[in-house]
Amino acid sequence: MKKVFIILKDLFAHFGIVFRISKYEDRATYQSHYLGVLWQILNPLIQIGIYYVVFGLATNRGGIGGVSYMAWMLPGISVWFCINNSTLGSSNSIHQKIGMVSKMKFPVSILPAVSIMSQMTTFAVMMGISIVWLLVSEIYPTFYWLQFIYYFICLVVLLYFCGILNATLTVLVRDYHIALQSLMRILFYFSGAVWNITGQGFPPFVNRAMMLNPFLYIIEGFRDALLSRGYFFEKGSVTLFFWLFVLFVAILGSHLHLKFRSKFVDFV
Amino acid sequence: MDGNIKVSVSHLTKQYDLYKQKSDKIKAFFTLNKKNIPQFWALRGVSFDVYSGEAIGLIGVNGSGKSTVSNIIAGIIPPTTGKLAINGETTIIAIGAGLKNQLTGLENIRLKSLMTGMTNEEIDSIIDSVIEFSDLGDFINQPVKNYSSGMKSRLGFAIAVHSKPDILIIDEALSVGDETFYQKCVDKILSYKAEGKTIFFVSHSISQIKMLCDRVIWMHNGEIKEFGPAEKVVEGYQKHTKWFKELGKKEQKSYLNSQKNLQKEFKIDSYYQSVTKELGGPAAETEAYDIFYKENIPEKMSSASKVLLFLIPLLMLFLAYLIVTGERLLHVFR
Repeated sequence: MKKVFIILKDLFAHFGIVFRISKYEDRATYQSHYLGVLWQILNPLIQIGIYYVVFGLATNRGGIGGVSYMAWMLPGISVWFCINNSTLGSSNSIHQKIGMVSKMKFPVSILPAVSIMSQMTTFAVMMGISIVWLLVSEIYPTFYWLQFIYYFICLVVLLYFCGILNATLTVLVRDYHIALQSLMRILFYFSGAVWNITGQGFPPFVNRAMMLNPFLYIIEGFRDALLSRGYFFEKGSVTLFFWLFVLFVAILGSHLHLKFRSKFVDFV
Repeated sequence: MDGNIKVSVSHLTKQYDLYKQKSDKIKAFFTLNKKNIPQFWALRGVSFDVYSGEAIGLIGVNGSGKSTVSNIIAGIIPPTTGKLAINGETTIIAIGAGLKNQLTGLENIRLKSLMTGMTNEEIDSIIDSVIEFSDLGDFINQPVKNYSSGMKSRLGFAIAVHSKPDILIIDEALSVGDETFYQKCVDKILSYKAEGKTIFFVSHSISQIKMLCDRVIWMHNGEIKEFGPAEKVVEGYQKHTKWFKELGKKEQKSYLNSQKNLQKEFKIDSYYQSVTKELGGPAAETEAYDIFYKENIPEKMSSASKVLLFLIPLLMLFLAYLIVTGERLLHVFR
């Protein structure tokens, strides 16, 4: 537990560095592109177009749960893009920079946070687009929308601790990153981003088992908030399960990270 | 003198595991106790105090622990045990300099400076003088992968000295530069010294050490063999090297082996006992514990965390069972 606090202390003490590096890297990545940072938005929009054609027009013409397919999909997929890109980005973050940080005094544990931070611009814009779409489709804010804050905290905390664990494991075992990529591709379909997995006529216990997936918890949570479907404390045991999962990942991740931090360079 | 102690270390040790193959590393990380892996103690109890305005040389043969000491002071690697008090910001310059090959020189300056915690305004204010100091000309806009090793070390040095450190650690980084750049660095180092900053200088070049350093630490097999005025220590070191060179091949080998065995068979517990005895007094035990372990993150998991790591999955399983069967948590407790 103490090590979790060490990791968190590192993060808060160096938050300025996290912010500045992620800003710098965003600019550097898209520097040589004519459309620049616009690609950060264009890319997801193109994908949304495809998903709409495949899943919206082909199978869900009647909408899901009383709202149109687009209104249902947009909040979920915006969260998914953030989850997917942050998880894969943060998993690679330490490995990518190890040559650079091994010869200087630098809190390596903030590197996953840098990757997550650079996804936040896209996330904000995508969420903005989703909310505008909801308002246009006459879905208006209610008290449920306040949960947005809660689920955002869930999202960031989960991504950060998963990032610490994944980044450490990726340095130790390179295969882990590839396995993670495959896992994320599978989870895409099991997290209800584009496909209403719990509404497919599976037996009820299968549907309930799906709820254990922490990504589904967050994605459905954002929908609960923005589509005014329910409160998080109404699903108490799932919420408890989610936070236990986070705690487990946090303890394991912090321990492994601190244990191997000084030896990362030997593993590359 | 206590007021201007810059670096104070006591009873520093550093242990490395000697894995035979890559798979051992992975095993080590799943097993919680690792008894069968041979250990190597790169440092076996190092203590010294350094004051502001001093230039300290670190000499010793390869593998004697010079770089380990400098990396620990720089904060790159944590010590296994020991107390470390550093008064100010440290910057280390090493060979290779940790530049990113795909980025240009200019981008490297920016990224490296950001990583040391500078703001964009601060970087804007120093960037011209970094470029000037590195003397790279048009190459500053070329990717670093096209640089020669001398150019890389020049850029690394230029970035490091402009991050305004209180304690500058130079780990053999000057050995690749040419004469002009070397002179430039020496001037910079001397001006730092005059400002009351502390410099650690790791080098194999006796002449450089003699010229720059006030005091010299002679590292030998993870211990300080001698720490004192530069002239005197260097003389002793040279005598030792000469003595070693004159030994026969067989004697050299057996001498090295016996020395390395000392580092393999070093036992931290017996060292701990001897320090406790040395301190004496009724509070010796707690004092020794403070020096050895208080500030260091233990490698082993605390037992509380172990219990949690065991309990949480159990609890999760229980909850998962409730959720899948559709039972409500509150009903179970009623």
